[in-house]
Amino acid sequence: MVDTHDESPPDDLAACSDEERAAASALAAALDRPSGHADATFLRAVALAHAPTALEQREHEALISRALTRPRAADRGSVVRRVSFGVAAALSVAAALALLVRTSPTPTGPTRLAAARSTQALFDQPFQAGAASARIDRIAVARQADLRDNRFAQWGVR
Amino acid sequence: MSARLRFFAFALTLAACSRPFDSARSDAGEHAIDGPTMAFLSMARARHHEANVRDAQGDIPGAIGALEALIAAPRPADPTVPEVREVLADTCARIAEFELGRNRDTAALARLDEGLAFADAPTFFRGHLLELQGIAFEMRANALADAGQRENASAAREQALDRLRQAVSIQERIVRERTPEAGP
Repeated sequence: MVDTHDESPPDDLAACSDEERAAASALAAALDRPSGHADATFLRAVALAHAPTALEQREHEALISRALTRPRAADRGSVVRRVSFGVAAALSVAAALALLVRTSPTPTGPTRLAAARSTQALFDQPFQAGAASARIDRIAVARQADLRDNRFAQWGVR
Repeated sequence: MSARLRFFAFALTLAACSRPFDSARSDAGEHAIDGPTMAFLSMARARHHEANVRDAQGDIPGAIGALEALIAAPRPADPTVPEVREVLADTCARIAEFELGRNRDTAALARLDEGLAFADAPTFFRGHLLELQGIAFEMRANALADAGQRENASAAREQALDRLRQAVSIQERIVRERTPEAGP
């Protein structure tokens, strides 16, 4: 069986192309001084992780300046977000309470309460002397029932 | 959350909860039967039964004192509650009955005048007060006649007849209202 696949290693000693040579020069230049070159930034980070050096004064000041200015802007955004969430939460709670209270088992119409009124209807004949306390008893018992009904109506359980 | 936001949320919650739960008015805007009204009626019941007990013991001044305590007691803020006014009217009538039982027509008539101020509508309460007034004037007329004061006795008799006629008139009116088919 003949293996037709070429497993020979790449020719590392092959001559560089002009393009590769230019890229290498750019990388070398970027390593010499701070720049935005992506490969240089990565290689510099690797080198500093292996052997850290002191920050340059200018870079140090720039880092401090950024640290002191960015959080303030971030704080303003944070306050706005928190206020927004607070207002939304308050409105949600109020709406939930309104729904809870208004959907409680109350009669659909207005709450009907027994009104104060003459007790005349409780009596079917002219008053007799000596029967006053019996009349007061009757009035109190009748209105006690009214008061109980009114409370049930106000609680929405009638 | 800031204090202003908390206040806003609290105000919203209050607004959401604002319902006629605290209403002490009926649909027609009348005073509804409420706790203070019932407390007064309960107090009236207790005072009248106290008067019963003292009356049974022969302590008429004590019975009158119990009823006078009810008249002097605190009342619901709304002075127009009919139940309160009618109970006060009937309490005055009962005091007058006790006074008449002691032959004190002047004291009885004073209480009856007070009771009539509470019962201005044509009800059994007003009719009963007028009837007792007639009896009090009749008692006064008899006492004056016994004392030889014929003219004063005659005037008191006229007052008695006037109050008794008014009492009858109210009772007739009530009978007509309750039984429209009743005769003349």
